[in-house]
Amino acid sequence: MQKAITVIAAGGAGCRIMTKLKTMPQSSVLNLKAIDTDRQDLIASTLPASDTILAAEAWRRGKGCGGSIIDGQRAIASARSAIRTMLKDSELIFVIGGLGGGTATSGIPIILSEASALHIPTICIISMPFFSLESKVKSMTAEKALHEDIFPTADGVLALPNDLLFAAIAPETPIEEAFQLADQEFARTVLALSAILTGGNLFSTKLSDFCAILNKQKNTCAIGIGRATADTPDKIEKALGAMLNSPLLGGLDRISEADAVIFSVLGDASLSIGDAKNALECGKKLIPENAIFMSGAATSQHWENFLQLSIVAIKFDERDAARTVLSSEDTASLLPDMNTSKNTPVAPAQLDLPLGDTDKGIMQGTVAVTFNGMDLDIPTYIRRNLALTGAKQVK
Amino acid sequence: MVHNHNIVSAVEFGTSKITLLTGECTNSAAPRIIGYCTIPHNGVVVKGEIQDMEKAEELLERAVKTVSDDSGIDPAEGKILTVLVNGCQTASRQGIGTAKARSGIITDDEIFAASEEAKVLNLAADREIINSATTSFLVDSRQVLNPRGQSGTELEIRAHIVHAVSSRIDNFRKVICRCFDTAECDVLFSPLASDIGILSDKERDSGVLLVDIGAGCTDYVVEFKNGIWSSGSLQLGFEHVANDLSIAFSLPVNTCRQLLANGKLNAEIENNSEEIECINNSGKKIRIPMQDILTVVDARLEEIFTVIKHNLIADKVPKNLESGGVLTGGGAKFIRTKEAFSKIFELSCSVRFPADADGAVTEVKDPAFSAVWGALKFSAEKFMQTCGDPGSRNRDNWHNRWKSVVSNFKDFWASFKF
Repeated sequence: MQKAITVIAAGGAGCRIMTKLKTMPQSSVLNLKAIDTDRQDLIASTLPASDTILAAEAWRRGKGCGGSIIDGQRAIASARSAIRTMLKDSELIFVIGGLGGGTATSGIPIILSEASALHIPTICIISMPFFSLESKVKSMTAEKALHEDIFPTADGVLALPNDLLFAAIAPETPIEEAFQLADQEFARTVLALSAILTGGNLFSTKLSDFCAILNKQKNTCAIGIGRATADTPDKIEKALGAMLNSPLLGGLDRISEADAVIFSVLGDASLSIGDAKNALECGKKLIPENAIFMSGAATSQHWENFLQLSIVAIKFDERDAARTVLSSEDTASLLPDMNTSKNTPVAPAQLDLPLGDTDKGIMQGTVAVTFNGMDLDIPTYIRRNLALTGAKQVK
Repeated sequence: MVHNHNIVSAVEFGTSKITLLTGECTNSAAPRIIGYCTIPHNGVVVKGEIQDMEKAEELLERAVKTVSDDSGIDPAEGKILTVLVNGCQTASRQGIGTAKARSGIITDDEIFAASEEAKVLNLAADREIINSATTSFLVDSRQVLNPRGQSGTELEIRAHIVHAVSSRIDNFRKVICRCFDTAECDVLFSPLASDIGILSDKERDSGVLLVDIGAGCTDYVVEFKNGIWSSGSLQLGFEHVANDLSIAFSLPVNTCRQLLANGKLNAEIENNSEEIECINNSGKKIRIPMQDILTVVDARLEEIFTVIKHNLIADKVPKNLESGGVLTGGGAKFIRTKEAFSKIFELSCSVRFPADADGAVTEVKDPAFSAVWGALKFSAEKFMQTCGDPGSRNRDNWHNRWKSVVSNFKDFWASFKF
């Protein structure tokens, strides 16, 4: 029986992705919802009015919140009860949107808090602003919301930098087309993840394993989708080629540098176990040896006459490196089944103890206080190299 | 032993001392202090976190016994008890809640519903909300001071929410509950307690930055237009200053603590001394240039205030805080602290202590006791709300409305001079 999966879009970027998702026949098994403060975005999403929430209509008059976080928060907060009603029968919720503006940045945390109150697992797939095109404030706002509001509550978060578009799309591509492509890839990713997490009838990916990896560390991700018609003889190779050239993947380097990879194979009833195995092996060859590899394969009549390969390459945030060292034993526990032969003994990794070369005195061994990457327990005068004359011994 | 049912208490587990303050609720403005005990310790609480539960319990039991013996009143008989916290990975943020007024008039029900909704935050599972304070009311998007009785269809409340890691907060609760043989105690975030303890309504309205610098932690709160704009606690304090001096000049850390705490360094600075004589870790007498000491101390103090300033900028705190800065806490007694404060924040600065602390105990009129005095006031106000006045609000409704304490204090303070 198909699980009740809800995909809820927040804000303008979310609604654009929803528009793409709605046009895909495979999305018919999903509950598609949207919330925004801008009426035009909701209309463009082509969802029926009963599946949308125009937040704070009387106050914002359906004209959006102009990028204001506080207005977005006020607007979405006023729709809490409607959000709760909309989500209450779901078993898994995908929250999609683009951070940096007003509605999604402040609204996604509210949606997550409502889902959390209803004890429904959530996976957040969000795009981050163009670092090179948009203002620094927007990027910082997005980063702050991601790290402080979204990561602590969502069961899994995939943060997709929009800048990846530059890496794979030809410079002469019209910007409208580039965004359309990005939205399409984004929508296909939602479909792929929902399919393997809930309906992977060949190889399924456990939701708990998936969330455990995404929650292990803060991350950014790259997404690659490749499709080929099912009756093509070399469909695996074609789909793989398309996947590697996918606009939101950002090139093969993204996979080779990934810390974790989620790979999925979707097809119709004609997809054989051999094809699935072949595709998964091809996918596995692409990833680094130490990366965590999760895979899933599913068939359904909704994927009639085509094969889709999807890859989500996850790069953990380097700022969480210390945490990784401490939790690497947990990570290792996932590896034997996924990435190494059962007969090969896995040598325990030699952990690097971050030994400090500076005396912290009585602060040694206490929980470190850090600010902008500095360990504030180390005396300030040492960190700033302030010169001292020095004490003199009394004779 | 005298039995008195108007007894309230407040406990502070500081990095340098554990303090128990017991007071009696009267009909006057603030509680009357009837018992006090402060026990210095070393390492039981570090950076606002309990390191040794058994030792903490033992020290608190000693404090309870001392207060009981000195005052003839057993603090454990009191009904309301507040414990201060500032470690526990405490964090604060602004929340927004709304409620529809079907009758067209805002009543207590809408205020309660909106307040509760403002507290629905996306917190990690291991965290809990410990305090919330209403900062502003909007009725149909129009800002009002008091929404009760206003005509309108929608009430919006903005609230300052403080949350912390539950398991660490539970450590404080456990120690308190064992020593006081009670099932519950209120937890109050230290900066909010200092706010209650020493700020006036006028300052809260015109805008003020309060910094409470203690041994292990430095707390701050910004009030503007009678609402809390920002609050926080850094796990940095005078222990870091003492530690820096200890490392810089190879001095025993206790020597450095005494230099800072007993006024010796203050006196040397005021006397324009060029050197200070100390015994170093090797037992040898050394002379340290005053300029070196000030370089080490000033660098640390300025850094602490710079981190706070950074946080205030991130919280978009208004620059026009007309009442300037207020400095309190044990560290405020050190004269360079005030200078560093003014230099970094570019605000006027006054050092404040609990001037309205009333009763037999005079030691409390010291900047080091601002927070615990505020916590006692908090306990007293809660007592008046729940037990003192038959017309008072329901206890559960009141429980997390810290702001209502402030509102009610406004009435008290209207006729009260600091």
